[in-house]
Amino acid sequence: MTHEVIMPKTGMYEGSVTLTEWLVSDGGEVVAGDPLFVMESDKVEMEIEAEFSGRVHQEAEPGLEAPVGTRIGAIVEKP
Amino acid sequence: MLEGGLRMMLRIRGFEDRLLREFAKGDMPGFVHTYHGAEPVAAGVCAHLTDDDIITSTHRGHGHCIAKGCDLAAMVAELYGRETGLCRGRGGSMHIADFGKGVLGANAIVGGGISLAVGAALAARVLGDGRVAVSFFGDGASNQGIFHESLNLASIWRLPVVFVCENNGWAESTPAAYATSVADVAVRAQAYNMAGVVVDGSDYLDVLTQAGHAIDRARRGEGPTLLEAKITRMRGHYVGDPEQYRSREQRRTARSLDPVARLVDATDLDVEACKAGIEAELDEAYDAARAAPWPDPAEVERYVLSEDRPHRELPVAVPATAQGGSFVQAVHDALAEAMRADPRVIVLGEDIAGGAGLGAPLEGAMGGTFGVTKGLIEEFGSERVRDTPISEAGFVGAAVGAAMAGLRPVVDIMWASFVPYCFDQVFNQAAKMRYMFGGQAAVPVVLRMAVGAGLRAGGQHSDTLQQIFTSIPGLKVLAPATPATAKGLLLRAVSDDDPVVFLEHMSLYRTRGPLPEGHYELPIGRAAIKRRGGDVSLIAAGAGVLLAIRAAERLAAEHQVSAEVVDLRTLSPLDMDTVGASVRRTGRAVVIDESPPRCSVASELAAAISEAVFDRLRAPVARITAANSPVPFSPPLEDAYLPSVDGVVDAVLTMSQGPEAERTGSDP
Repeated sequence: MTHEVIMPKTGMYEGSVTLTEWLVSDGGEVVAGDPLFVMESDKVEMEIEAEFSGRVHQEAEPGLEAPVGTRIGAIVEKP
Repeated sequence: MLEGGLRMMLRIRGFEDRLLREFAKGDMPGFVHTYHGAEPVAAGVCAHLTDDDIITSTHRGHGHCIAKGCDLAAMVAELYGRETGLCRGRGGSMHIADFGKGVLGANAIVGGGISLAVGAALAARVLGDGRVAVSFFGDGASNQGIFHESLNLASIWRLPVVFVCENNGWAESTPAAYATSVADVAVRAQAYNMAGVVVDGSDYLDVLTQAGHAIDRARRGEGPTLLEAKITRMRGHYVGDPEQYRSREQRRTARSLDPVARLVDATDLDVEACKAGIEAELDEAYDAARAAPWPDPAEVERYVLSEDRPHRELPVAVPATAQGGSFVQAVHDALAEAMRADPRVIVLGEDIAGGAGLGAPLEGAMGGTFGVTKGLIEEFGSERVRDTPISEAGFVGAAVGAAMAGLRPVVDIMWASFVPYCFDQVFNQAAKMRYMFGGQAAVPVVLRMAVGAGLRAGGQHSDTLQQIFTSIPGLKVLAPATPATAKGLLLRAVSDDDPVVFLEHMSLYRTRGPLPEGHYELPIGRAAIKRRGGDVSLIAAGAGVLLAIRAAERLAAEHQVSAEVVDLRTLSPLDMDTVGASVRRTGRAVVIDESPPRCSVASELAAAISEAVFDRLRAPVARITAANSPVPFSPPLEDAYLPSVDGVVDAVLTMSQGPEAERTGSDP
């Protein structure tokens, strides 16, 4: 099963956010609860944890600035 | 039994898991707090409740609403701020209410719901309808004063209420181990002579069993219980909380302590089918919510107050009768008339009977600080005439909750200066409930209080506070000047569906005047012309009206100036029709207001008059207010603090010599 990875809305902040860094390589494995990427909103850096376990597909480069909710990748769960 | 509980817990978890995903997308306004880890508490407690039973909830309240039977689609629409939401989008996640399901609202003031539940239990008790009230709150709320005042009140009155403390170990990011003096909140029950029980909030059966005992006790009339459920906050304080205050390992552990998974292992329920059904329901709910209409911006002020309704009223002029009476008599008579007419009317406050519990003739001998309520306990009994502890926050909150649950309480707060102690209950609770819940709530509570300086009572017994009350949307504010208007306005206030602040100026209590007998009401929001005049309008309320009349008499006798006196009667909403018409005729206005001048009724009236009748003004509006100071004790200072006849007369004479004298033939 494939799950979208998006830059999430956190708290009340509704503006654009920047993808700062992937913490898991493209094609690497992640476990739910592990940090997956870093994003910056309103000058605050935040580690975002994976909600699911599986193989990570990166679809966006660090530096991307986009509205919260923007898809930046996927996690493919093992069947 | 277990399966029913698990179904409910899966429903709550399904709602919250979906919320995490949908919230991340960024199209849901505001912020949300989820119920992850507490599911057995809402499910186990609410399993014992009917739609008639009442709960109060918190900012982390989705689980309570779902367990009480709220419609998921209407909840989701509320989270999106849509007109189709449970509160028509006026409340949001932190203020979901569903009065049809007995959900008296989620409160974002962490202990705010506790006193409301006490009030709902009081309503159940007085109405004898068998309802039970349950208040859900967190460990953080157990450190607020309102928790302690409410538990004490519920205990001395043996009310049918259960206090459910969901102790997740955190008040936002502050650990309970640091912020709470005891390891178990439940031990605090001992201080209030009630049962205190600790349950494992991650164990559905434990919650179900102990909540059942507590609710049964309440229903049997055996009084309140403090039930503390120890739970794990599996997630952050709010969705998106970076949780800097817990290590990754602690976060991982918290997420693994999952009470829902634990129950899944203990039953044979087809969990996947159950989850699929909930997901399908949520698919529809989210689609519908995103497509639903926003509230109409033109309706931003709708639901602040109840819609106007016809009421029994005399003409604005009160007919004089042969019989005269004092202001105290008038307020007393209004309360007695209201209580005879409607069994839902109760009165409560400090010393309003006096000698509570001592029996006749000691009980009731005092009848309130000013003797206003003397005799009521003899006629109506101690169920409806209640002395309270000195717990303004507790008993005002209880009155607000009782009003939301079917009573029409009249609270004696004794002195307006005490209101800051219960300001949350006035400002966040009473005034906002109708609006935040999209018109579902009626809050027919009257807050009576003595106001005003001049009695050498010092700085904390002499305020009017009317500048504060009138600035709050959702409150009506009345300030009668005579016995006849006091009676008619108070009777109207009691039958009104909105919270009414009723200001009784201390200097008026012993004044006398015509006092019609029987039940009559005067309209709220309508001023009256007390004295006709052509040169200047003196605009006042309460004791200021008597001052204005004295000033008008002197202006006529000594200066050949004809002053009109407008008795506002209602300070909020203001009757600008009557005020504007008067100033249009006279061309000059003096506003008299016994509160400090900043952001006052006087400044509001001066601005409103300038906007409405600027072209007819022959002089700037003059404001005669109290000094910009607390009320001083020393008599010469207190006299200087107060508006005076001299001040009004001087203002009128000054404005009469103003630019108007230079105009020629321009009088309208």
